[in-house]
Amino acid sequence: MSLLEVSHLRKTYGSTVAVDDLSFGVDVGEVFGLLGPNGAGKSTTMMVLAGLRHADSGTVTIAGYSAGTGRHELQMMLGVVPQDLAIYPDLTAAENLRFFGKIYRLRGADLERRVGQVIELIGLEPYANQYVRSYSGGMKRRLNFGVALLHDPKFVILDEPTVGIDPQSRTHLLECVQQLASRGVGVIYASHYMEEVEAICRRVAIIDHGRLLVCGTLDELLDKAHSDVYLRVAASAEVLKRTMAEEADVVPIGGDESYVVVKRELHAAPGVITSRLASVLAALSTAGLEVVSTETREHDLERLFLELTGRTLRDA
Amino acid sequence: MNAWQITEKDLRLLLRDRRTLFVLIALPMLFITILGFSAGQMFVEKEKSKKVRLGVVNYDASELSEKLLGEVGKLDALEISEFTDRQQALELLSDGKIEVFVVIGSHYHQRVEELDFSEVIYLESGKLAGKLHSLDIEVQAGAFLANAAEIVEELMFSFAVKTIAPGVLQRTDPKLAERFFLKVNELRAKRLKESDESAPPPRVALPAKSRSDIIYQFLVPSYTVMFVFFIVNFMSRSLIGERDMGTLYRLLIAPLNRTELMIGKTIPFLLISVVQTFLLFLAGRVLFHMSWGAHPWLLLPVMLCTSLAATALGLMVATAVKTESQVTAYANFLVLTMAALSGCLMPRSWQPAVMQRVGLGTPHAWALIAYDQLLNREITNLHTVWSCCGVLLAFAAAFLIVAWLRFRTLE
Repeated sequence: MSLLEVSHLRKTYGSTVAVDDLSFGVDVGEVFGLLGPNGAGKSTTMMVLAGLRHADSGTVTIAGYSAGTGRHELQMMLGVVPQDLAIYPDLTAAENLRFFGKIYRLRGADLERRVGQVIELIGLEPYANQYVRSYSGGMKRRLNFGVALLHDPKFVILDEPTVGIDPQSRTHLLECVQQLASRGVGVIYASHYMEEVEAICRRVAIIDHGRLLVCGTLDELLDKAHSDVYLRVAASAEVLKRTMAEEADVVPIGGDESYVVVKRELHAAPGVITSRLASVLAALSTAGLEVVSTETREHDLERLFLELTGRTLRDA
Repeated sequence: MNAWQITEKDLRLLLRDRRTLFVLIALPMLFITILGFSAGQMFVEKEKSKKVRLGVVNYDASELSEKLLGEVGKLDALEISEFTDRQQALELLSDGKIEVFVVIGSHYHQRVEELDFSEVIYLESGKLAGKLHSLDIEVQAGAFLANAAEIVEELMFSFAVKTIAPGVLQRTDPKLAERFFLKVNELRAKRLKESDESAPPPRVALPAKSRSDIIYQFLVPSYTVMFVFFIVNFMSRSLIGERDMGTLYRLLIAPLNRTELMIGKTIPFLLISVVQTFLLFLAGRVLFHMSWGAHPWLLLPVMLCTSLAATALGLMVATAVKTESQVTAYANFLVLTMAALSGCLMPRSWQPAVMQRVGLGTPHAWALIAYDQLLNREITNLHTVWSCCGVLLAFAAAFLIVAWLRFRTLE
């Protein structure tokens, strides 16, 4: 049984459907990536998981407890790192951690031990007694992350925890997330940074318009056994575009050379890519154009994401 | 209880926020001081201006006219200045240096000598029917105290009759005068004897308070109540701050119920409010010599109930506003309007009756009524004080219920 079970979740705001029939699960010790463009329904999903919003229908259970019932047992096993900073700038890091620790019922030596551990984990030992308002963006993000771990949660919700931070802090946070998972903590990780998700998540779900588009391991989703074929041709992009028409994409390299890209759509039917490659080569041959070299390139998450959600700007 | 953790944190943040402390404690003190000094000065001026400034021109300069002016001069309500000519008095009247002037004409003593005693008794029908004019006395008042001329005329005429009557009687019927004066002397002696025997114990003089001290008996409670309700502003900003900082989100998902959160957010401001009130009253006593009345301990329940009503209102407003600009617009407007209606800015007794009744719709007014009973009345009506506390608690309860209902759906 999964640590987190989301089943047929639906949430509407008036006539707007924010989440529609969403189902997925997160196992113990798993980092699960939740991807989607702005307005896809990620934040609503996160809020339902955190118990801040009630679902219209469907169920969400964490370790067997229904989300949104306000049960203290559930709240105690849940750690949430919100998208925006959620710390007091006029308190020091240690005071912030002590305050939230007390809210999570930690007291005395236990509280001090956990505060010390978290400060060490997020690398803020030298600055623990400085006011947070004097911190850099990265330090604030690390503290924001640390607050969620103070009470040793069993399941952690991370909503874009690395927005606007330096590469060092990002790397540090990602390492911390992997450490959590290695200790058996279930993590749901929402981000717009595909390379982060590829780096730390075992499974990924992509949602848009409130609906689940795909869900699976990165290998399953990216179809890594198959790749796009790039043909380097000694001709300008204009010439190649006239020659290829709709057969393939053309990417200029510079000078009198360009790539002709024979793409493989996600889970294309067997034989499609072979026949497409054959017709491209036939067209090049007919035009008398020389293929200088060939290479293959693996699909990446960003390409998959854009393919599924489109290239239209999302400002919601 | 987790509410205490919120309280402790908010108190820590409040104590670090010097600007808030300045606005809550130092600013009202400064405000009361400035207003006190200016209003105190006004009261001193008022004491002076209560005396009608009377100019006198005595062309008669006889013993009779001097006697008349001597009697008039005994009145505390008049501040008399003598002038040598009418024109000078008229100019001072135009300049507002005097409010009224009296000219005793050169024929005054002559007119008195022509009087018969019957004319002094039957004023309406004899030579005195024309009153002061008959005696060659003229009274003139400036525009500012136009009605005062009539009062001064009546006064002068009474004094004139009083001073001339014995002389006229002596002159017209000496025997009657002798009998009359003997009788008067007997009566006077008898009254003196009686008053010696049944003389009441000497009155213990209470330490006199100057007008400028008394003003603080009004200013300190009024502005304290007004500034106590400014806590509405800070409570709203505190909750908006939690929302803006994202910490409200964290608190709402933490093992903390909404009631604990609400109590935790209220107590620090209640404590600050009580301390604020106490410090302002202490400043009133130390700096401005205000009296805490006969029952100083009863100030505490009034302070507490007022602070409860203020913080409950603050909580209600905090759950209604969403942004800092809404706080600035609505909360300040609400607080200032309530202060104006309730009599914090101007005593309710100065307001029209209908506005006095409207003012009772604010908790401020009930707090002021209670403070008035405790600070300014010689005999405190304790029933009124406790009733006011009850009404303040009712206001607090009503505000808290609305706040709690809104808090349940807070996001």
